[in-house]
Amino acid sequence: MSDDRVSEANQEAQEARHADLTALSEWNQARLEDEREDAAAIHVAPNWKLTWWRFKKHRLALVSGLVVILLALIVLFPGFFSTMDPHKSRAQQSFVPVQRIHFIDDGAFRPFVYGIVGRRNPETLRMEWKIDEEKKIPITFFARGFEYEVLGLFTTNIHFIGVKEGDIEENPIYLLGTDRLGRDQWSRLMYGTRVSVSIGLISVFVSVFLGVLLGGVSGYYGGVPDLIIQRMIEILQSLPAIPIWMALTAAMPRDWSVEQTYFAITLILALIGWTTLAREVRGRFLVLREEDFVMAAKLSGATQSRIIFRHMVPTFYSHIIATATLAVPVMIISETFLSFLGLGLRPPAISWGVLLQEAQNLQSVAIAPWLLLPGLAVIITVLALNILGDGLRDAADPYSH
Amino acid sequence: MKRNSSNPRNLLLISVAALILILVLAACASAPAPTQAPAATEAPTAEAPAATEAPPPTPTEAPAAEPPAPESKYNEAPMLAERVKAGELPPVDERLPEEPLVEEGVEGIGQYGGTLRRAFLGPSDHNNYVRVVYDALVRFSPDGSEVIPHIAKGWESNEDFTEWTVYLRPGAKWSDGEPLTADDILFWYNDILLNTDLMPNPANWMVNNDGSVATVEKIDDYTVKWTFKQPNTAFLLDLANKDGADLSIANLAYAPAHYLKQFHASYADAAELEKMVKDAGFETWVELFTVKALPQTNADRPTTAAWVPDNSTVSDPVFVLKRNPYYVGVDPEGNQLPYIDEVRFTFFADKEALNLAAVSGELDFQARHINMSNYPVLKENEDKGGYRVVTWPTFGGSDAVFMFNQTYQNDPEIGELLRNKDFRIALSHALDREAIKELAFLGLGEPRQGVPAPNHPYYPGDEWAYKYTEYDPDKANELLDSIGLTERDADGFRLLPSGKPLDIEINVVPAFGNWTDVGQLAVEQWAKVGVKAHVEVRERALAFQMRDTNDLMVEIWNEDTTGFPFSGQPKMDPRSNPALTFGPLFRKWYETDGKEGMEPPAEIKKLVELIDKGKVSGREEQIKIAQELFRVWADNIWEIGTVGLTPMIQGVVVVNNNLRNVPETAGNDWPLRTPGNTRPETFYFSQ
Repeated sequence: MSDDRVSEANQEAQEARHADLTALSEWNQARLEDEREDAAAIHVAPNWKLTWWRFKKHRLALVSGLVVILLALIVLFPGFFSTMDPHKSRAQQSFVPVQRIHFIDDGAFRPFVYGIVGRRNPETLRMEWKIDEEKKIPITFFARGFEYEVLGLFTTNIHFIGVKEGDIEENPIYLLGTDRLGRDQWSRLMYGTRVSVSIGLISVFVSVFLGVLLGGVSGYYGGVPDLIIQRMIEILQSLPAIPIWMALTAAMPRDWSVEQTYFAITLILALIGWTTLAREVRGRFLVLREEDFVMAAKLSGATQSRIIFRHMVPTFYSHIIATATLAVPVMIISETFLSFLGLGLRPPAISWGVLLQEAQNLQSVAIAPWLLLPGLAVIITVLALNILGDGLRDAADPYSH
Repeated sequence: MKRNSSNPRNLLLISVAALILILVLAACASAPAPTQAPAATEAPTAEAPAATEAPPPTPTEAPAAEPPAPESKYNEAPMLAERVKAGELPPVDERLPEEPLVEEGVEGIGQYGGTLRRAFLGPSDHNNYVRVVYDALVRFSPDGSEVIPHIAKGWESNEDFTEWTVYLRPGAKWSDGEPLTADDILFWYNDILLNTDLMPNPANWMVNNDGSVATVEKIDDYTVKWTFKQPNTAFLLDLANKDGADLSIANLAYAPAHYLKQFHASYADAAELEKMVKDAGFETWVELFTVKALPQTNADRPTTAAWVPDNSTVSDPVFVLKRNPYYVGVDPEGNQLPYIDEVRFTFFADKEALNLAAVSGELDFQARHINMSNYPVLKENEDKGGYRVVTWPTFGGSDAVFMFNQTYQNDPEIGELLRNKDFRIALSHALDREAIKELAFLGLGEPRQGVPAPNHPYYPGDEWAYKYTEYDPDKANELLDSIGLTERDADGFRLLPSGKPLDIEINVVPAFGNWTDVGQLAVEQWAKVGVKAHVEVRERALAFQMRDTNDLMVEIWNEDTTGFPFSGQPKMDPRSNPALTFGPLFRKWYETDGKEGMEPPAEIKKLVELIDKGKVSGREEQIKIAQELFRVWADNIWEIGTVGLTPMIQGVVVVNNNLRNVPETAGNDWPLRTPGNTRPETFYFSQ
């Protein structure tokens, strides 16, 4: 080994190190510049942008956000995500277990489910289902199936997934099995999601409206309106929520249609839910109305509504959104709970509570445990909304550290 | 109907045959003899069947129950023997009547001891207790085919069935040791039935055709004669349903005079009675008496049943019955019945929890509130739970029928529709009974209308059993169009002729069957022919109250009492009380002689006529009348039957593996007080 070669190697190493260092310093430079730009951006960024930046860092909340978006899609288009008519019972198809989707067929991506054959056990009288490996039912996307209405605007029969050929009623796919009347659990879950989640959303929307309005009036004007509204809130909060819900729902006329019951339950949940938010809003108003910028707005002759909606409310938008998000799961749980007790929605309406109520028997627990899956949907939704709400709340105050 | 004149040689033959059979059974005590239960009939046998009245034979070679004490004719439970030894009870020979009731279980002689664990759903479930003890003078045989002696020794009637003589057992005693005599029947007659404070209207089984009350007279201490103004072939069937355990003094036919006189205004000292009424928190002595006169509300009230309430009532969380040391029954070896020491009803707030307890083997003997849809779960856990599942299918009609209130008035237009035969026929054709059978009946039974089973003498024939049962939506649509339900709303549901929406309310009491599901399936199937309906699940007490106030539109119930149109409170009779949702205002019309209520149409008047005729006819004639009755019944389709001949109604029996003498098959209906008719006092735990 010669010295030349040694020195050559050293030189190469040195050069490499130098290059590394240069790259590093360049990167550092860039980063510093970024930070400077960031800092510059922060100074000029509007509130929502700051919130978004901060929210982005909360990975779990981000994932939850995606789950919530997916739920929102199901709420809007339950028919599209269903595979079969959720109300149709099938005499020969009771208690079909969950059918697994196989994705790879002969080494190629061709999703399918195996066919099933059922037989009633002559001794125990139980329907016993076996997989028929001979029969493969290919699955395809955007398949034709039962007709459904989209947001009350038009009808279609296109579904997210379905069978490739033939009628789905003859080659059924039960992604989550069937219940005791042979109804498809997956499709029922989709429609149940629409009802349960939308009840949560609408009632929170109504309670936010009431909360901001009454809380705002109370906080901004003070005096007699404040006194009345605050006492009202105290009375409402002192009432035990669950018995009140039960009493109100029990008082609902039983011949009301499904839509009427739905509407009434939403209102009942909302009318009790607004109080916390109203308190919070009032507190904010009390603080804000002493702030200089409000004074400035007042002095420059802004109208009251302009002061409230243009200057004051935007400062706690983010808070309202966070609180509302956290209130949704409470509402969903309440609906589920009421329906589970048989006081809320009742069959033929489908909601998570109704589904769980129908699974509340020995038979379902012992021989058809898949009927308890709506419970999982409740858990996932409530967790997702809670984590999202948490993320939003943390992000809502971008200046705090 | 000349069975009462059957010649004595036949009778002797039967008793000898029965004796031999009993001896054989005793010798091989484990040989079960399950037979297909024949259909229940209402055959009024004018004389006590000899078979069950065989005198206690001398002990055979069966080793287990060899009487150790030679001086005693009968044996008793160890717990009673101890009390005798302690001087608390007279010896068994003195406690039993001269001629005890001899009963043998289907598997033979049993062993003493044990507690029979059952479950009940609280005070409203009082019939749970009534059905277990079945405390009546005479009662139905296990298969429900005939009336047999129980507390009474036998009976006799004259040629034209206007006079009935009932013989009590000399030496029989109430559970407190006081003698049971003709005076106890006369106390009931004079001081309960005829006392207008206690019973403003006398029970209808005691009312003659002309409105007067039948007479009851004492012949001697142990003989009582009933005299009616017209032939009464249903007397025994009625007597078999006068149950001392019932929750109504209207259903008594004898009562402990020695005990109840202290609460009765005709006997008690006015001041003392007044004090008792006040102390108990009542207003009048009538209230006090009605509580004190019934064993299920007063544990101190002496009874004659095999088990008597032990310081608890149906309102307690645990309702315990202990053996009656004075029960009149013995087995063929002279062991006093019952074999089982104690019956324990445990309160369950929830039916599912009750079913779960059955699955885990915590109940020894239960059919009531066992949900037939849990049959697979029960069957699969038989080994683990240490029980067996026995089925006792009902022999009557359909196990879920849609009853259309014929006097519905809350909405006159809907009322008119419910009275329209074509409307009912259309809805019947719109039902897919095969689907209902698969989904709500586990594939058991057959689609049929509410008429008796094919093996029942009252069966009116296939034509009527299956009338209007074929699934034919086209025909249904055609009929619905033809009666003017042509207009439809945006969703395709038919509108009433006035343009108002039509919505049929189906009331369901989630009591015995999977009726909520049957209702939901009907809603779905009727929607296909454009008839909107919804299921309304109501608590039992509320629904019963709404029946009386004529507020129910359509109700799902089972076809109980189908085998008994001429006695008790059959649902075919609009005058029955309590009735089902058939036509509450018709009853009012009959009760007020047409002044109030609603006049029934000709077909319903025909029903009433047939029932009245059947009550006074001989057996042959009675069968013909019953068949005719069910033809009218099925043809007019006041009730739409779905699926029948299944064990849905209290017929899935969970039996502890050690509990023996439980028949494999038995008649199953409310008039039989099932399982009371299967003689629970002969059940025993094999150790």
